[in-house]
Amino acid sequence: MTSHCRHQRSLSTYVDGELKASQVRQLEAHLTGCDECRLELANLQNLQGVLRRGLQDPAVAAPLWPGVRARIEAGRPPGLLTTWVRRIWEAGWERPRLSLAGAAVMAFLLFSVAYLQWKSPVGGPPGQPLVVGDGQGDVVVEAVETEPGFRAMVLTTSERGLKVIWVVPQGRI
Amino acid sequence: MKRALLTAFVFLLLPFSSVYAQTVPLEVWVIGASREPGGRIDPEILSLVQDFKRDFAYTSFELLQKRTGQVDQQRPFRTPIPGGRDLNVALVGADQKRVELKVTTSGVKTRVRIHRGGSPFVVGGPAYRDGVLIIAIFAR
Repeated sequence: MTSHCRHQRSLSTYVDGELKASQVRQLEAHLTGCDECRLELANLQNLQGVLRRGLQDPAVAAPLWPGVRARIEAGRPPGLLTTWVRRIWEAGWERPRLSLAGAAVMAFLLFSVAYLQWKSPVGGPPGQPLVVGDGQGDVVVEAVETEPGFRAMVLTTSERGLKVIWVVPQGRI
Repeated sequence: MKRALLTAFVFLLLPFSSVYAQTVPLEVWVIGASREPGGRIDPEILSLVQDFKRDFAYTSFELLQKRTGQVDQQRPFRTPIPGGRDLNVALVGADQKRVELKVTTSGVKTRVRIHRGGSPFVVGGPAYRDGVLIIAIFAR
């Protein structure tokens, strides 16, 4: 980087009054002998004046702000999530078989989760569950099947409401 | 490509493995109930048999056997019980609070839902000596 380029780049900082005293001295020395930098400086000072006047005038600043904000938003780098989504999307277009397999896996996982949600919690199998009394609600007898020669009764104890299946040989009831 | 397919296959099996790998600890009490005069109740089962004493005409309750084990979708819990019988408990389904079991013992097959750590499911009635057996199954 040449001395001229360095000074030219620091013009904006100079206009904003943010240069150190030694840098100001160097730049001003350079300006005395550089027409291009002087012109650039004049443009910058002119622009600063316009901006200041514009910002002080609500009639100018208010209509300008949405445009300024839109340009800031447009210049903002995309977030990590956006980048990943874009990459996956592009990869999917480039490798259709892979994206189809991924979609199949996702569909299967969703189906599995839905199935397990329906199946794993024990409640609600088809048919009428045989709920014996209110009791403590702890035990639900779903089905009772006796072997030949036996009879069964489903009882609820009076104190704690325990469910009891009482099995007796046929003929003894 | 093969590696990707293998990985996908493993992921496909994951939701099922969590269910099939689930084991439920069980505790089984086998109680002999009879009408012996001056009935005796094992202190260990006192709280449980209070109900039976009130509702059934038995005076003596003896804890004959206490078994612990576990049951999962592939392996039922089997244990011999007094009187030359077997008790078979199979897991139908389970979540964190409840389990559904198929219980088979002499004379009866039944399917019940019980709460883990809650009241037991009880099968009673098989003849034993001068009285009957009462089998209490707890899910832990």
